[in-house]
Amino acid sequence: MLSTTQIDREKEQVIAKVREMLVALERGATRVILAAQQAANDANDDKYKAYLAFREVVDDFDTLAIVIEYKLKRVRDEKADALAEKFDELTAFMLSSIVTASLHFLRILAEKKELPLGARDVFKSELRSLYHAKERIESERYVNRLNKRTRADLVAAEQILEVVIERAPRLLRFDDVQD
Amino acid sequence: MATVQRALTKHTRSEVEGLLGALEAHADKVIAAAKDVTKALAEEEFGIYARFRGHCDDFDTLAIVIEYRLKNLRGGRDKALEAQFEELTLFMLSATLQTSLHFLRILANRNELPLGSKDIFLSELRSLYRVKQLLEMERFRNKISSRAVKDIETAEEILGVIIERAPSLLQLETGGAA
Repeated sequence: MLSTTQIDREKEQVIAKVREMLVALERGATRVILAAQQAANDANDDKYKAYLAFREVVDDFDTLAIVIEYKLKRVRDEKADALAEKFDELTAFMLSSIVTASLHFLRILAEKKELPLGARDVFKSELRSLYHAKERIESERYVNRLNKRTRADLVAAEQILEVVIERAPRLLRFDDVQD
Repeated sequence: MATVQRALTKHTRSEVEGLLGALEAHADKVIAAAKDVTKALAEEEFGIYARFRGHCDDFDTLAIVIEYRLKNLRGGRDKALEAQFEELTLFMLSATLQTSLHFLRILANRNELPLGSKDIFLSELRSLYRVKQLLEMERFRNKISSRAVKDIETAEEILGVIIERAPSLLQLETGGAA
């Protein structure tokens, strides 16, 4: 059985790791923002390679966020509470940024009459991304952290999802669906 | 975006029924692809996984389309169609949870992840977390089967174990923090 001192030491170690991971997560958030800008520039010119790099950094952010969440579950004290607060703030910020980025991509792509092959995958991927980010950010955990800009984005997201879905499946071209 | 202002078309029941039929066909494709992946993982063939994920994404996209069309049904809401849709969504979430658990068990048993399997491992970790979160939402919480409840508990354990005891499997770029 572990002594109280050993438990405290383990807790301290986990907190130190989480602190380090939060710095990495912040770096990850910056990478996502930069990659989104690059992907949006390219999408304007009908190029979609940078989009894959964008999705990859989003995935990296998500994976690290899951790890941090589970590590935080293991320690519950004041220091960890402050880190959990910072973590929620960072994930809420990231979800808001994802909603903004997805709105931007969908606006670019929805203006096109026909979507070329690569663009169709981006379109579908962003449709899912917008839907799921919206679903998460509207949950109890984040809803009180939303700023005015994000609230406006969420209203726009709902409208865009409706319009885009109105044009689907023609635009999305599900192989086995008649429109 | 000027088109946002356009009035939305109301969709007919038969249109949505057609989409639900297609969604069911996508569910079958996901299940069949999951079986192929299980075989392939055992033989360290990882290329087939992308096809499985593609089917999952197609199901997900079509489900979003149907959800919005059900909101805009000619003649108002149709509870029978909504129930059919919810049943199918719930079935797929439970099946995806089982599949992720299965894939992660196969991969987590290895000391080292061979090239190509690390991405699958991370992708399934995210999938497991996301599906677990969805099933725990109020919308589904009271409707899931006892099997799914057990799977959620197992998912929680597996996520905890992977994150605590297998940091080397994850190899995240955190400056050595994992």
